Amino acid sequence: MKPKKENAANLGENLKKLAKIAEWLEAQEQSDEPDFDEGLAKVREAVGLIKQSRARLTEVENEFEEIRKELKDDTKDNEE
Amino acid sequence: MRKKQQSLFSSGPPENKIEKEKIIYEVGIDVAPKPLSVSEFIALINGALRELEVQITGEITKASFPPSGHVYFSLKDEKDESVIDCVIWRSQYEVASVKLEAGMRIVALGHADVYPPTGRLAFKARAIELTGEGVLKKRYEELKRKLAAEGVFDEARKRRIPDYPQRVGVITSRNGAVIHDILNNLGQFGYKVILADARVEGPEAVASLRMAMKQLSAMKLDVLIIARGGGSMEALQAFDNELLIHDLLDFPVPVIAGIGHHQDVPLAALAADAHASTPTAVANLLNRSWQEASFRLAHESEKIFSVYRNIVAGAESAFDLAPYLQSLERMSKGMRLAMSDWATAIPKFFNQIAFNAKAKIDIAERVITANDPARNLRLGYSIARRNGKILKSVKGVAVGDDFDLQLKDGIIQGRVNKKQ
Repeated sequence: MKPKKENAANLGENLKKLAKIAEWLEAQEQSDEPDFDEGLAKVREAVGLIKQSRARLTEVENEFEEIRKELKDDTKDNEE
Repeated sequence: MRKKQQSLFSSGPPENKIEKEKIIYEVGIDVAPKPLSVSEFIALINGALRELEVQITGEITKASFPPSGHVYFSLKDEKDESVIDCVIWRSQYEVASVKLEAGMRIVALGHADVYPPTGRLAFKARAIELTGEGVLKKRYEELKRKLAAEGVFDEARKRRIPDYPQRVGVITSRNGAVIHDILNNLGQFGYKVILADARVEGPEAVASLRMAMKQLSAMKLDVLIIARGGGSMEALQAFDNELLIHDLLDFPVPVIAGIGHHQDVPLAALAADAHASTPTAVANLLNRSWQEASFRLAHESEKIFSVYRNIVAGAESAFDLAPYLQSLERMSKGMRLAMSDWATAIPKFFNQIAFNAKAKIDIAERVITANDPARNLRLGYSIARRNGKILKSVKGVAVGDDFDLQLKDGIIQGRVNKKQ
């Protein structure tokens, strides 16, 4: 399986978004009038983010390559 | 190669003649049966000598530094005092980052050569390195002081190893154990490892390592690893080279040094953006952000579900929140399934965390189900309200008050006749 670059790039962003959602919900938990509709929308968004992040963290095979050696003798006999 | 040399300087059976002619042909000299000119003969010898690349070791007896920048020196054998004149061209001398002085012991890599204008034989070194722990230690300390004064080792200067690295350049010997140890310890996070093989010990090591860095610097990487197994200060001296260290500082992405050592940390390791002394530790550095992501994901998932469950379950008008609870229950169930799959995929260290998170989501799901008012109504419970507010206590009504009673399939309106 090829690495999913775009998901790897999004992983950090997803985790930040999830942390913000958790923070928002914690604030609602302390509120006298929690916003249930918004809360449900946030949880739905979180489910999408969690699934996407989880997919990236699921085992992805590593790849290996060796680059061609181009080491040349720089000796210049005409330097004399 | 050795065979060529023997055939040149020995007379023998006819097949040697063929070999000799072949060599003469190879160096482009006319094979006509006439005497060779001196120039042709020297060219013939030099062609053969160029193929005989060797390492020689000895003590420097004198060294001269003409304005050309090339360095001429003599090496003496300590046992029988045999001497050979040597030269190293400026560009290769600069790579060595050594100031040659009489009395130093060195190893030189190169080949012998006859200088046509004088007919003198000299050794053309294309790489040199010092031998002897004492002189190496002194040079190490001097360079360390110089680089420290330049701020090369300052933590503030060092670049952060990026999170979630994928394209990883590795410079090490393809024949050593290091590359295998790194590959075996990388998690399966979709890394693309690009190896540039290099000599990591001996006079050629500095040039070889620098060439590998040059090659990899043209590629798109997230991080570079430069690594080799442990060794003595003498074996590791390529990693105390000033030019190599400056290449490392100028490398376009952060560099992790994974160089084994005994006492003195190689200067390249001190200058690198991060360093570890074993290949396993280097791999762990790369794995770290991925593994932390697994942990954070489990943590945030658990927090989001449990906090929202608390918000809903703690609300006063529970019946009106049934749709929220039902949605949450569905999502929670989906996540529980996802987590069971996930827990088998992430690294061992985080398995327990994932299992804990899964268990908490299971509990949250059970609590949500148990608290679902619709389910309780189906079981025969009912909800009493007065003026739209749930009645939790007989103190909330007085005899004669009207109230509503919510059952599973409708509402009964009633009046309080008596309180007990």
